[in-house]
Amino acid sequence: MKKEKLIELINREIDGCNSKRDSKRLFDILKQDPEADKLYRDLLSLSDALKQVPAVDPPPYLSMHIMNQVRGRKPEIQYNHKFNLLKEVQMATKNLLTGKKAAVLLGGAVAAIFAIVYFAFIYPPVDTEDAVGTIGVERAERYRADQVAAQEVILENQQYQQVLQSDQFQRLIRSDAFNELAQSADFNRLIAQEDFRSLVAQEDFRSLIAQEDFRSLIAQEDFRSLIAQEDFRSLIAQEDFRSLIAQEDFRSLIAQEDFRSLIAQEDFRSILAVEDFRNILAVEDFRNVLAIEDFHNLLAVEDFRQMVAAEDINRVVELEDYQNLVAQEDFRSMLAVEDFRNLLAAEDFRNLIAVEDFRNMLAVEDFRNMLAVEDFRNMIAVEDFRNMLAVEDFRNMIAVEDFRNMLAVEDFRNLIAAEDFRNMIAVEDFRNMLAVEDFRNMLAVEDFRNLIAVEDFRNMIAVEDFRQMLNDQNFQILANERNLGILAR
Amino acid sequence: MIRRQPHKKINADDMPELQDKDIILRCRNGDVEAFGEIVQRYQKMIYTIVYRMVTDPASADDITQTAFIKAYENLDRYKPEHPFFHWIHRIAVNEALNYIKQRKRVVELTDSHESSEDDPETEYSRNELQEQIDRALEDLKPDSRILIVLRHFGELSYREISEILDVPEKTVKSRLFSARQELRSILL
Repeated sequence: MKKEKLIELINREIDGCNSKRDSKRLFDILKQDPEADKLYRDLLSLSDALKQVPAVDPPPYLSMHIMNQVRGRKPEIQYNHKFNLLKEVQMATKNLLTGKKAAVLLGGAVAAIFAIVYFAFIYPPVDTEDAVGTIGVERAERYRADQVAAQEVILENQQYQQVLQSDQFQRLIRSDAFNELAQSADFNRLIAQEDFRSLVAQEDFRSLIAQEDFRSLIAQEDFRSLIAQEDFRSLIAQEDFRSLIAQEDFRSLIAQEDFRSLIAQEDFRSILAVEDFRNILAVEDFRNVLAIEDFHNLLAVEDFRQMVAAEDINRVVELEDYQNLVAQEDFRSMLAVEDFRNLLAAEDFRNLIAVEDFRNMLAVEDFRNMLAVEDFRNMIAVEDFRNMLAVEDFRNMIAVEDFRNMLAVEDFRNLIAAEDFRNMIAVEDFRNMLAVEDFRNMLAVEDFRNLIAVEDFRNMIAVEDFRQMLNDQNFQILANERNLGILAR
Repeated sequence: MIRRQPHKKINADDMPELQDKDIILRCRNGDVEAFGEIVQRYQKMIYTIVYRMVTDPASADDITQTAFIKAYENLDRYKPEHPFFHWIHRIAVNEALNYIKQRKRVVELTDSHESSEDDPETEYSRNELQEQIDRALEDLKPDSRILIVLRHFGELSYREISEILDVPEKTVKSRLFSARQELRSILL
C-alpha cells in the first residue's frame, strides 16, 4: 500500500470515518508495520488530548453586545414591539425561575441589586430546547452551560419582579452601556440605596429607561462620574426628583446631546451638591421650564453650559428669590426669546452674576416685574445692551441699592423699555457715564428718578443731538465735577 | 493495539435547518430580536473556534461579534438552500484568518512551555494541557490551524469543513492530515 493511502486510512480511522472493511485492513497493516502503528498511536493520543481541552465559554455579555450593535446597525428594520414584548417577558419570567448557576442568592430588600447584576452578567442562559441548532445533540452538550434550580433565585418583592420582567428593563440591561455601567463601584453603591429602589418601582422610571436616549446617556463616562457623587445619590432620594423624571419633557431633555455635554462638566455636578438646587426641583414651575423647547435650545449654547459651570451660579441658585424668579411665567416666556438666550451665553453676563449685588437684584420683586415687560425683553435683544454688561462700571451701578430702587419705578422700567433708551446705550460715552460715581449718586435722588420717568425726558433722549451731547468731553467733565449732582439738587 | 470507536456520524438531515431558516426569515421581515436566537444558538461554538484560532480572549470576543454583525448585515446574501450554520462559520473563519494575517505574530516557544516538559507531574493537568495545545496551535500556519480547530474543536465533518472553507473535500483531508502530523511533531 502506498504511504499516502496508509496515512489516509490512519487519519480516517482517527476521525471514525472508515468502513468496517477499511478498519480491518488498517489494523492488519499496523500489526506488521511498527512505524505506521506508532503514527496511529501518536495521532490517536493527539486526538484524545484535543478532546480533553474544554470548550471555552464566551463572555456572558457577548450576546448582549452583539444584539446592541445589531440593533444600532440596522435601524431601518422595524422593531416588532408586540412580538418582542411578549417574548422578553416570557424569557424574563422563565429566567427568574430557572436562571444559570452563579453565586446569586436573592432575597429581601437586596433583590433588585443582585437581579441587576444577574441580568447584566449572566442573562440570558442557553435554553435547553433551543440549544441544539445544527450542531447535533451530541455536539451541543459540549457547548451547553450548567443550569440552576428555581430556588437559587428568590425575589420576594412582587414590585421588583414586575420591574425586572418589564420590556424596558430587559432591553436596558442588554445594552452595552448598561453592562459597562454595572461594573462600576459607584453604580453599585447607587443601586444599594433604599431611595434608588423606590425610584425603580415607579412607572415613570420604567418609561425613562425605555428610551434609547437614556441608554446612550448611561454609556457616557461623565454619567458614571455623576453617579459617583454622594450629592447625586441624595438627589434621587427626593420626591421632587422623582416627579421630575415623570415628565415627558424631562425625558426629551436627556435625549439632547447638549444635555449630555452639560453633565460632563465638573461644575455642573457641583451644583447638584447645593441643597438649594435640590429645593428648586421642588418648584413645579421649574419643572415646567424644563418642558420648554427654548430651554432645550439654550442648552445647545456652549456659553450657557459654561455659565452653569461657573461657581457663582451656585450662589445664585441658593437664593430663594432666584427660585421664585424661575417660577415666573414671564421668566419662562423670556427663555423663548433668542436674544435672551444669547445674553445668558455672553461672558459678560457670567461676570455679572459674579457680582453679589446682581444676585441681590434677583431678589427684588420689581426686577421680576420688569421681566414681565415685553419692551425689556426687546431691550435685551440689543447687542449694545450686552456690551453695556461688559462695562464694569455698569455692574457697579447695579450694585447700588438706589438703582435697584429705580427698578421699582414703573416709569423707569418704561424708560429702559423705550427704543430711544436702547439707542442711547449704544453710545459708548453714555456707557462711560455710567461709570461716574456721581451719576450713580444722582440715581439716589428721587427727583432725578422722577425726571427720567418723565415722557419728555424720554423724548429728549430720542434726539440725536442729545445723545451727541453725551459724547462731548465737556459734558463728561461736567459729570466728573459733580455738577450733575448739583443739577439734580 | 488501541482500537478507536468511530465517531457518531452527523446526519445533515437531522439538523434543525428549518428552524434556522424560519428565524432568518423573521429577521429579514424586520424582527431584529429574532437574531438573538441565532446568536444564542451559535455564539459558543463560533467563539470556541475563533478563540482556538487566535488564542486571545479579547480578540476572540471582537471577532465573534464582528462575525455575527456581518452575518446580520448581509442576511440578504445568505442562500437558504445552504445551512446557515456553514455560512456563519465561514464568516467567522474568514474574520479570524484575516485577523491572524494582520497580526503577523511570530509565535515562539516560551520558557514555561519548556519547563512544563521538565515537570512531568504537572504536565498533564488540564490547564497546562490547554496551554500546550494553544501554543502548539499557534506554531501551525493559519491554514493548517483552521483545519485542526474545525475538526477537533468544532467537531465538523470533512464535508462541512469543505463547505465552510470552500475547498474540495479532498483538499480538506490532505491538509488536515498534514496539520495533524505537524501538531504531533510539536507536541509529542
